[in-house]
Amino acid sequence: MFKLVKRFLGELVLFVKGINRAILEDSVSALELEYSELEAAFMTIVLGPLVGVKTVSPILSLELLSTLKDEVKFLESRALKGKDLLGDLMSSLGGEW
Amino acid sequence: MSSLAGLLSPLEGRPHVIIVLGKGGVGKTSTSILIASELKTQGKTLLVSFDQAKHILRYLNLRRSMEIVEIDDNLSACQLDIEASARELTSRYSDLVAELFPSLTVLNLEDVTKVLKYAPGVEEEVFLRWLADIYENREYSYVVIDTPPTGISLRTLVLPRLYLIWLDKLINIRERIVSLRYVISKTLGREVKVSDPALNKLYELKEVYSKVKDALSSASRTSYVIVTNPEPLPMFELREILNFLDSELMMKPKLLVMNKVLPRDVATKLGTYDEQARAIEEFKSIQYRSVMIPYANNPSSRLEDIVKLREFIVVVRG
Repeated sequence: MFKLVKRFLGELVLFVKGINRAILEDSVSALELEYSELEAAFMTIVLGPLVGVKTVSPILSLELLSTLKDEVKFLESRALKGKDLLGDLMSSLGGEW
Repeated sequence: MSSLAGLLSPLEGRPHVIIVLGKGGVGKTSTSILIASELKTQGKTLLVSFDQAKHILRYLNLRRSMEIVEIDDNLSACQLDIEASARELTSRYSDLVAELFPSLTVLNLEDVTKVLKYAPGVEEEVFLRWLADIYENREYSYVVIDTPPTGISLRTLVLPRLYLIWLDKLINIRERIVSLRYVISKTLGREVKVSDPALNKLYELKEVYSKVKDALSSASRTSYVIVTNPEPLPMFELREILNFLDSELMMKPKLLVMNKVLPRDVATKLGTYDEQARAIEEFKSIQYRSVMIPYANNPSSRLEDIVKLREFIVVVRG
């Protein structure tokens, strides 16, 4: 009987921990979504003047560019993937295409 | 003989910057030289010309642009070359763009630095950067700035305000990005980076442009002199500049100068007497310190010729 109660309580603890983890991951993924959207907006504003979208001064863009090397590289990897949208879509579905 | 420096006083702050504005060809360079040649008796003075007509090179016998040349003990002068400055500024970034080249090919940015010097706003940006440097330079007591024609000058003077609006928006977004990045990393137990170079750069730029904006709107750091001629268009621009100073910078001009006033007989002979009389009447009605300088028989081409004009200055409103 004692073993049964101990096992039940153990599973209850795991269950509560699981729920906590799920809530945490849910919150983090919502934050991550806002983060990536804000970063995309920021990069669009900063890089806009260099590609003909008038947002801020082009010199201001270049000044900020030196501090955004990592973000530019990240943007590159996303854009490079974006060149083959169909391939990306098919690979996301799995299997050989 | 009247003293322009006397009419401009008090000139506080170090350096006190005197910005000479007006339509192209009204005599901004001559007026700037006249003012600088008087101020040098009161303290170390720098005369800077942003005007692309580069008249100052000839007047002061300067060999080339972009060099501060000592004219005499207390007076130095420099002709800025906006195109060369823009070229230098943009080429400074070409290495960076080349480094990021593989990334930027995706956005077709390879040629950006080659053509950037022609981009709208770059000329004003260069002018503004020089202005920021001038306000920081404590070597001179007075800096007299001979500006390019009205349009570009006024756009530049309002640029710090526009920059601060852009920077505030960018700072808001960046601060949110940094705080989200911190919360996500902390929650997931990742390494947390507290400092963000982009945010630091934005704060740094905000400080620079705030200082210039405050200095441009401070009577203790900056005096505005407007030069006009007794003709309809220069008078129209004078009114435009007065409105701009009042509405955008909340400033009043320290001195108005009506240059190239023709003698009555010459104006009558040329059939411009009535037009000139109307312009003078309007000029006299403006409630600021003002002077008139007659037309020089021989167009001024040397410093000595310009300094001689001082003998003919007539104070309209002291």
